[in-house]
Amino acid sequence: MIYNKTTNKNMTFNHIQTKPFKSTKIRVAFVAPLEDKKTTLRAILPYIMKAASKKFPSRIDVSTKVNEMYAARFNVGVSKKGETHLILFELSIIDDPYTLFGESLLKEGLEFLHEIIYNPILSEETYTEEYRLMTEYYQSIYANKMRYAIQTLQNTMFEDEPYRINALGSLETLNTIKFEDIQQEYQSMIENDLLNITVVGDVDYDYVNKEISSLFKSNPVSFEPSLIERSSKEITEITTKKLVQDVEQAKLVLGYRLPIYYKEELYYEAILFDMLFGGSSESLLFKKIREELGLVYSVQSSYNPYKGVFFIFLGINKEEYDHVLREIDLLIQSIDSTKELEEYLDIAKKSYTNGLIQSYDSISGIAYKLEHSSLYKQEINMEKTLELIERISLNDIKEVAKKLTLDTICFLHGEDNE
Amino acid sequence: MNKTTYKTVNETMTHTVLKNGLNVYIMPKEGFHKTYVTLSTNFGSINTTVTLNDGVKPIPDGIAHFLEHKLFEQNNEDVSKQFALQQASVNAFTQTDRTTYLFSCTDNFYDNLALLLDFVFHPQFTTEGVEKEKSIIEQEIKMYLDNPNTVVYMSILKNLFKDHPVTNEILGTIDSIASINEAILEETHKAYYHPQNMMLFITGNINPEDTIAFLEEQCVSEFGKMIEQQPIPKDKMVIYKKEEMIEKDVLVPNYLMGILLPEVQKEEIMKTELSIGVLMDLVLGKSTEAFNQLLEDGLVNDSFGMDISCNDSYGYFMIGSESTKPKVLEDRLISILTSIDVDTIKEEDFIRTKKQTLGSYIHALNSLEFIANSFTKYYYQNNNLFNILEVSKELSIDDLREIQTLFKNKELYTCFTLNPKKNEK
Repeated sequence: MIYNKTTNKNMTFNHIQTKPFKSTKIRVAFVAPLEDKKTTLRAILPYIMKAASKKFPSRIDVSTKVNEMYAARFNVGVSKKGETHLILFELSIIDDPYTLFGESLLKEGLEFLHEIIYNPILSEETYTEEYRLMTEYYQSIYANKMRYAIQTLQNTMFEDEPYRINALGSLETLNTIKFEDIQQEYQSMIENDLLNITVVGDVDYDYVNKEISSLFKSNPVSFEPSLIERSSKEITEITTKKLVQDVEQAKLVLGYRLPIYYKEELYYEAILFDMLFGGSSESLLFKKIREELGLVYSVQSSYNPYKGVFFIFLGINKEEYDHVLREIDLLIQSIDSTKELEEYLDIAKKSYTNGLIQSYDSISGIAYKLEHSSLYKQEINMEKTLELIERISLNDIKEVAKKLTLDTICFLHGEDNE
Repeated sequence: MNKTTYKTVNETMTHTVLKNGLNVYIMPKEGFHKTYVTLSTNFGSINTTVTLNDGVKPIPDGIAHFLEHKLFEQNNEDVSKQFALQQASVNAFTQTDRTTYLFSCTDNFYDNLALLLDFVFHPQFTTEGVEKEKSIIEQEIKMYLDNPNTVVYMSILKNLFKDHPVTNEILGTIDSIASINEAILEETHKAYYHPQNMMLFITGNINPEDTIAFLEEQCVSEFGKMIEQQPIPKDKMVIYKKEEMIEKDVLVPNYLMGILLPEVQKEEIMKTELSIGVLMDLVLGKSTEAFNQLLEDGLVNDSFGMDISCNDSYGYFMIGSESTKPKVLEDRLISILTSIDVDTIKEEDFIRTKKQTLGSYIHALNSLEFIANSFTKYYYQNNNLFNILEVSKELSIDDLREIQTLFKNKELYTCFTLNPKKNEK
């Protein structure tokens, strides 16, 4: 893989030429600071842009064009990294040798993205439709009880912190925005955002770079995105939030503070701790709570290094609430004396290695990695990462465990008489 | 051993049958780091009997899935630990007509391959292990009961068919799995896990010749003669229930419509499914007036989707969405589907669907998981994944005309709505 990167004012272009895939992937990210009200506007904006443009004035026209390009995979979306919000446009097109008439889809695809991004029709009609779809999306979270429990935990645990802001915004702020705000937000995105473009596939750098430079506009704006959120609070007691809903299985979510941040001290140690503790079916939680005690089917942990937090998600029998909490606490407190911890660590290292190497077998995975490392100004170096992982000791893992502080518990369960 | 090259997609497949009858397909993928391996049997939730030397016996619902879980127990330990130590991750899944065991690895390929064959072909059930599994699966069943999409999907199947085993829950029920014990598991394994009934698919960073030499050496012929199992009984072409509704703790209703389709011969499944897919794309795809009108009228949202399932003992088509106006959506869908007229389809739109099929297929070939799982699916239909482009190319408006008749009879339609509880917000 040959890696290239160029920066021109606010625009960065990342490129990797690679051969195993039959398609080329393009990602365009608009990067701005995360702000509460703006986030909901920025969440709905790309969906309105995706619906119509000067050249493709209706959803049917856009969709027909995408299908015309051999069912190109075209998606828009949003995400957040620390205190930064991203609007994303993604296009994947098949490589020219596979087309029926030798079409050159790359140029067509880049021009299509340019059209969607720079010539959108921001109509009130589309806005009304997308407003409804967004409302129904927020409402659908309620139907997914685990997601609803997670959302409730986040709103409680991070009440006064930016982390509470969902990349997709919220129903409350959606109700306060107006169509006129959209046009303004669009202008702001084009004029004030950082622009990060990534292309991965068997395509020549010089050629794509030339096309990108002529199609996408760079602006003389500049700011350093805040990609890690460090705000926290003092925990005097554990907050417990209980919800009663009509469910067969209770959902339990635990939120911990773990002040270890991306690529800083103990970062890889925390990644391995997560894998070893609850990140896979070979983890302590899985073995103890599911296999040994038979208390759950699903149990999973997750570490977020852009905020320094750690979560555990479980589906349990309501009656086992105290039992499960006790067992989890015991697992963390007694990690020093856990039998076969050495073997758990060994497995975690092997699993991490396997996962990392495999991530280079996905064109989307590579494109994401490239964009991510470009934003964080980090190099992509698999060998070096694997070396760092190999050096991690049991003591390092214990150090990570010591830094965990339970902050909030959310428990969503059925009625008592059920 | 024979080698086939598929020029249009630039792939090569090697096929061989081992001494014990196991079919092996190998497709190297240059430039990939990992190797992805699946071992499948055509045994799933749809199978309800075992036939051994002493005759035909019923088996409990959910046993295919239970067996899938329990094969992982070897020497009182979960075999997935050994895979992890060998830099691999192992998994398995049970479907209506298939069970698949798989691993992906970036090192120790041969050790992992040997381990896969060993644990799938040589079970070590224990009473304690079987009993403990029941409480784990009970939690898994409850988890799915809280998932509106699963509830709606299973409910519409139960509306469509009165007696067909496709309506069996893949996980079984808490009651049905209670009766599972080691003896039944062993008999079921013996009946359905004969190498002749199974297929091994290997793709990724591998050399086919070396792999086959290794497998020939590994493969032992300790398996007796394979006993033919009972075919799946067909059901009448009659809707069991026209309409059904339940209430759950949700905010937006979830609507699903099911249409009964005739069963088709295995070899014809690919063409039939492809034809239905193309027809539906022309009638209700994202580039159609009809779909955009549904969107504009607030009848569907991003959850809108369709599912086509053809089999030699049953067939159905499903379409639905979360919708705040499920009744209006229903009337519109019925009116659209019963009045499909392929003669109104523009030539250019039809030609474009061929580009779409090609494009989706080429994209999908980037995924080793897709290749392995689709190849296996078509293998059990006596077909070949790499025939898709040929079949798609030959598809004509006349084929679609034949397909549209399947949607004309309203008597074959059924619907299911999951509504918000009345006392909720």
